[in-house]
Amino acid sequence: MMPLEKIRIADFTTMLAGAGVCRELADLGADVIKIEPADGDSWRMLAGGFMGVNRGKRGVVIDLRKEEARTIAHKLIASCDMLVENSRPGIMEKLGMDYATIKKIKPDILYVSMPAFGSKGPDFQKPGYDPLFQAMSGQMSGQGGPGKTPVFHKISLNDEMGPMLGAFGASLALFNKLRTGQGQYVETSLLRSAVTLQSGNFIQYKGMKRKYLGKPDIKGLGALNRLYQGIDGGWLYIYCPKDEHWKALCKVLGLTALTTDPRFTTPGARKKHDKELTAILEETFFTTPANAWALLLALQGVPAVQGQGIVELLQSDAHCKATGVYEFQEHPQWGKVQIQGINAEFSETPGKVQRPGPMLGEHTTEVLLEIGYTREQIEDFKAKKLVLQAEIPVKK
Amino acid sequence: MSQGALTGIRVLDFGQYIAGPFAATLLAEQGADVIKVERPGGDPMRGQDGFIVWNRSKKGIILDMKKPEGLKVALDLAKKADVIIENFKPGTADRLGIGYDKIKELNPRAVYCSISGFGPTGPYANWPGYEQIVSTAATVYTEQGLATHPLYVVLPLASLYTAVDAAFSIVTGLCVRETTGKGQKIVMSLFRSLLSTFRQFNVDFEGMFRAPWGPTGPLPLYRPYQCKDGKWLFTGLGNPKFFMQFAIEMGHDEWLTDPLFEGAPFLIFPPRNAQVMSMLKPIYASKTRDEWLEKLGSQGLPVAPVQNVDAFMAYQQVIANDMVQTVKEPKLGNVKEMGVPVALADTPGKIKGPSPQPGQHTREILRELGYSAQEIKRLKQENAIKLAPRRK
Repeated sequence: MMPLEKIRIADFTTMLAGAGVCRELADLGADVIKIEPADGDSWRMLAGGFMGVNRGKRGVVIDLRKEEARTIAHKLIASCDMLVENSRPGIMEKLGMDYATIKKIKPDILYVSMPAFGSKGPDFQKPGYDPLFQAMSGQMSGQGGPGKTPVFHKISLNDEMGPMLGAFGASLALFNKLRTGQGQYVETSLLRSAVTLQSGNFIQYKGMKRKYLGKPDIKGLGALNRLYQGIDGGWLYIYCPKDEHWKALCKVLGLTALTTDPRFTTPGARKKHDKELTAILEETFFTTPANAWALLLALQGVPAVQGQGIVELLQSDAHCKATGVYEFQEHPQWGKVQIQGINAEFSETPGKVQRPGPMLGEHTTEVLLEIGYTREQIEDFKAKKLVLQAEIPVKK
Repeated sequence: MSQGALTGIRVLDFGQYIAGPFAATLLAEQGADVIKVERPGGDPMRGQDGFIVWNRSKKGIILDMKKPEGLKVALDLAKKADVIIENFKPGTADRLGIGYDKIKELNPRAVYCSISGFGPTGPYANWPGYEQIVSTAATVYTEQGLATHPLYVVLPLASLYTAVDAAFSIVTGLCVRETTGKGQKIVMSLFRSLLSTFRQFNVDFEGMFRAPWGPTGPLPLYRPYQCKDGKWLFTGLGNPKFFMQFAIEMGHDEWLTDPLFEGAPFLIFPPRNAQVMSMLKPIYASKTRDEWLEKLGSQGLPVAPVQNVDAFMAYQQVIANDMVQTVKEPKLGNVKEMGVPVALADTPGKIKGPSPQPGQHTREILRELGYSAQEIKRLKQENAIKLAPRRK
C-alpha cells in the first residue's frame, strides 16, 4: 500500500507550482487526474519540465469552455476527494469550478488553491510568476547584494516551495477529514512561498542589525567556508566550523605551521585575517586537482566536497547510483526517461513514481468509463469535442 | 471556527539547526503540541535571528541523553508522542538510545521522521550534512555558477525545502495511521529534497533540451533590467499574449513581426537573446523604475520591482495575506516575522508563542510526566536536565 493510495484528486493546475502540488501527492500514491483544455497545459512546451511536475498523473482533456463539458467535469470531481487549482482568482468561478459550486456537488471536498498572490489583498488578481516573487521578496537582491546586479536563482525558488507547502496543506486537510469527515478550502500561494523561503531574513525588531551576505560573484562566507579551485579547474567547497576541522585541514594541505601562526590560532584571529588566509588557501588548493583534495580532506574528517553539474550528477553520481535516487520510466513519446525517485522513504507504505507525465488526453476514455459513462456516451462527447482522447504515438 | 488540524497531536522534536526544528514548528502552528528537546549545549542555531522563527510555538526542555536519567525522560516523552523528529547525523539517534528500533518497541504508533544530509546509506551517508556540503553535492552552486566559477547561494535552501517536505511527509504518515493504526519510519535527506527542486532539469532522456543559463537568467523577456534611477525592474512575460501587449505598450508594434523576437517570450536563445537584451537595455534606462511600474504594471503586465526584504515586509499584499505577524520574544521584544504559510479555512493555524528559552519548560514538562519536585532537584544535581533560572 502507498500512503495516499485511495485518495483521488482532480488536478486543474497548469505551469509549475500548482502542478507540483499534485506531483507530490501522486508520488505518495494519490490517483491524480490532470484535466487540461484541448491545447494542453502551456508548460508542455518544455518536455522535461512538464514531466518533472506531472509525472505519476493520468491525463484527460475536457473543454471547460463548453457548458455541457462542465457536467462531465463535475461528475469527475464528485468521484474525487480533492481538487487542486492555481488559476488567477475568478477564473474557476467563471468555469463553474469554484469552491462554493463544487461544495454543493461534493460537500466534503478538499479544495486546495494556489493563486500566485493569494486570494485577497490589493494585488490578488495580478499575474504572478516565480521570478517576480524572487524580485519582490529580496531573494534576488539578497543574493546579489545591496545596490548590485540582482541574481536570478536558477532553481525556481517559489515555484518549488509552492508544491511542498501545497502538499503540506493538502495532507493537513486530509488528516482533518479522516478525523472529522469535514472537507474545507485550503490556500497557499507563491507569495507565501517567498515569505517561507525568506523566513530567516523576514524579521524586524528594534536594534536588529541586518546582515547582507550576498555579492554578485560570492564564493562563500569566509576563508574556511567557501569554494576553492584545484589545478584541474575543478572546484570544491570546504566548511570548517570546528577547530578540529581547521587543524585537519592544515594537516592535509601541508600547512601545519598555520596552526601556530598567531594570525590564525583562534577563530577570532582567523576572521580578522580572513583575506590573508583565503589567499594562502587559494594558492595551496591550486596545486592539486579538486577531486584529489576532496578525497584527502574527507578521509581526515574535513567537510569538503567537489562541485558538480546536473548532467554529471545524472550520469555518474556515486551516491545517486548506490541509493537509487533516480529511476527509469518508459515514456510513450520520449522512450527511456531518467527521473528522480521519491523524496521521503516510508518504511511501511513506500511511495512510487506511478508513471511518467501523461500525454495530452492519454487517459480520457479510461477515466470517463470509471466514473460511469458508457462507451456510446464517450463517443458522443468526442464527436461534440467536449473531450479528447489522444492517439498515443509509439516510439521506435 | 474549529482549532488547528493537528490538535491533540504530540510532537517530540529532537531537531537542531533548521530542517528538523522548522518542520516541527510548521506542525505546531497547525495545532500540534511540540516539545523541543535540546542537549545541554543547546541548539547551535541559538543566537541567530532565524532561530526564533524556526522554533516558534514550542515548549523546550534540556536533557543530557548520555545520562541514563536524561535518556529515561526522553523515552517517557517518546512513549506519549504521535510524531518524533530527529536530524542528527546517521547513527547518532541509535547511539543515544532514541533510534527508531527502540521507539518502535515502546510506541509502535509513532510516526518517526529521520532527517540527515545524505540519508543513512550510500557513499555519502557519513558526510557532514551541512547546508553548503549538501548544496555543492546537489549541484546548486555549479548550476547557479558564473562562467568563471560556481556561486555560493546565500539562502539555506536545502534546509528550508526539507523542512516543509518533512512536514508534508509526517502529516501523510499520520493519515496512514488513521487507517492502519500503525506508525512507521520516514527517512528524509536534504540531498534528495534539494535535488527535487531542480524539477525542470533533473530529468534526462534522448532529446532533453537544456537551455543555457546566465546570472540574470537566459531570457531577454524574463529578466531584470536596470532603470534610469539605478533601480531594477523584473519583466516576466510568461506567455505570448503578454509579449504582444508589451510590444504595443512599449510603442514597438514592429517587434511582433521582427524575426529577432521569433519564439517570444521564452524561445529566444543565443545569439538573439543578447541582441534583444542590448536593444531593451537603453529603453529601460530611459525611465525610472516607478515610472515603468506605473506604465507596464497598471496595464496588467507581469512586472515587479527588485527590492530588499524590508520592502517586502512592508508590501501591502503580504500584510493583507496575514504574512507579517508580531511575536513577543522575551529577549528581543516585539519581533515582526512570517505568518503561518498554509491557510486552512475551517481549521486555521496560528502562532502559539515565541521560541522557548533554554530549558524554559523543563520543570513543567517533568511535572506533567509525574516527576516530583525532589526528583527534579536530583536530576538537576546529576546534570541530567537543565532548568531555566526561576523567575524572581
